[in-house]
Amino acid sequence: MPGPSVIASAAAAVSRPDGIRRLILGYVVLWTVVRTSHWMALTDLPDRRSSPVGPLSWFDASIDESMVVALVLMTVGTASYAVLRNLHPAPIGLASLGFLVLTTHGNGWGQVLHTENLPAIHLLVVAALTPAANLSRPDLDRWMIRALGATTVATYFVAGVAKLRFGGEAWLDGETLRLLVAHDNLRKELLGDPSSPVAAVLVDQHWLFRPAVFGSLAIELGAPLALIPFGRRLLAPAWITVAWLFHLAVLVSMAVLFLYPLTGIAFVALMASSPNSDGADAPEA
Amino acid sequence: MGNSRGPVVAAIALAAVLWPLARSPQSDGFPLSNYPMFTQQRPAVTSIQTAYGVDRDGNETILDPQKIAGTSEIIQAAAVVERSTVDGTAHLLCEEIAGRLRRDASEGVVGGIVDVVVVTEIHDVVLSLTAERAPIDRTEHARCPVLP
Repeated sequence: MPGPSVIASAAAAVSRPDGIRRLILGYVVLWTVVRTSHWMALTDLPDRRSSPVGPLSWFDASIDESMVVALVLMTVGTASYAVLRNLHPAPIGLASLGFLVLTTHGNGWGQVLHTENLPAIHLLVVAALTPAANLSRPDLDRWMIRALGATTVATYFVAGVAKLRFGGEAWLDGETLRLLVAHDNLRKELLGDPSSPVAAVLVDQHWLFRPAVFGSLAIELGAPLALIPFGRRLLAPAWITVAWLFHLAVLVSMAVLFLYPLTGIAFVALMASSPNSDGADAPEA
Repeated sequence: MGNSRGPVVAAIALAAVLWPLARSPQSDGFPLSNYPMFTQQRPAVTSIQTAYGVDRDGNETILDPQKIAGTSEIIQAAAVVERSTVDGTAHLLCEEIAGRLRRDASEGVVGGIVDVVVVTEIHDVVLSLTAERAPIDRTEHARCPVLP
């Protein structure tokens, strides 16, 4: 078992700019490997099922099997090279483009999945704000960490606003969420996907859902608080804790896995952010 | 860009993530999304579209998203079935599913299924989840044989 000092030094290492770059790139490598069979299978589907989103809709392009293989090799190869050998902007840029095209392809079949948005955005930010090899650019490091933290916070804020905009006042009473949890789990059962083993018990607990609605709204709309300095630290640790618990609750109640935040990688830049421009709390370059 | 590269990239990234706030819930996108998941209002009694395998005795087998829609993602599979029942292409989806079952049957994976049905079921979602999973009503959109 690693001792506390080993864990502390490991945590310090991954909260440095290059550590954060490696964490995000490492996640992308693993996610790409795991998702390859899914992306390949989609190429067998008839064209009428395709509904391209994002960059692929702009170019009216579709992806065939050989392109998936090429993009996977490029993404995994360049990202692995960057993690293991050289955090140079060129391989990171190629990895970010490959990952963007692959995930866009995966989301272009009738429904956006929302589990790959943030890592794709984060990787683009990392690619744009990585200095050329052997150059020390603490300013780029600081801005990369700020941009990663701000985009994380912004995605939660947008999701919170969406609940109020699209769900309306009815969403606040808790019953909408209760029926949503019931519907989501029943649909999983009818379409042969694993549902939450505790869903049937949960949806009978009416009292639970109104606090859950206000809790989730507070977490999402309150996300910008994570960027506010509190003494010499940000409020980030407290917000990250409740946001992580929120994703755990979603996993338990709906069997929906948001792996990027649950691994903590989505939040790591917030832990490294500095409220001070003088470098007092700045991450080590 | 020199020293302005950092703030410019950060500002663009933040603006891009916030930009979907201006979009309607129907126009979700990737990687920039308005995150409309979990916002849709579902009535207590609602319709769910799915597909089943049927054996010679008429017993129905639940199929997984891969069999139904060729994807491992449940929400994509659900969207595919729902769209097919709306745009009148349920028979095409039915043939697709039968084709996948035929291919798997040749590998000895699926046995006993002779037909595929694409249906809309009306459920009291809480009752069907917590008690008996029985639809209140059901419409069959397409039925097709696994073996041609």
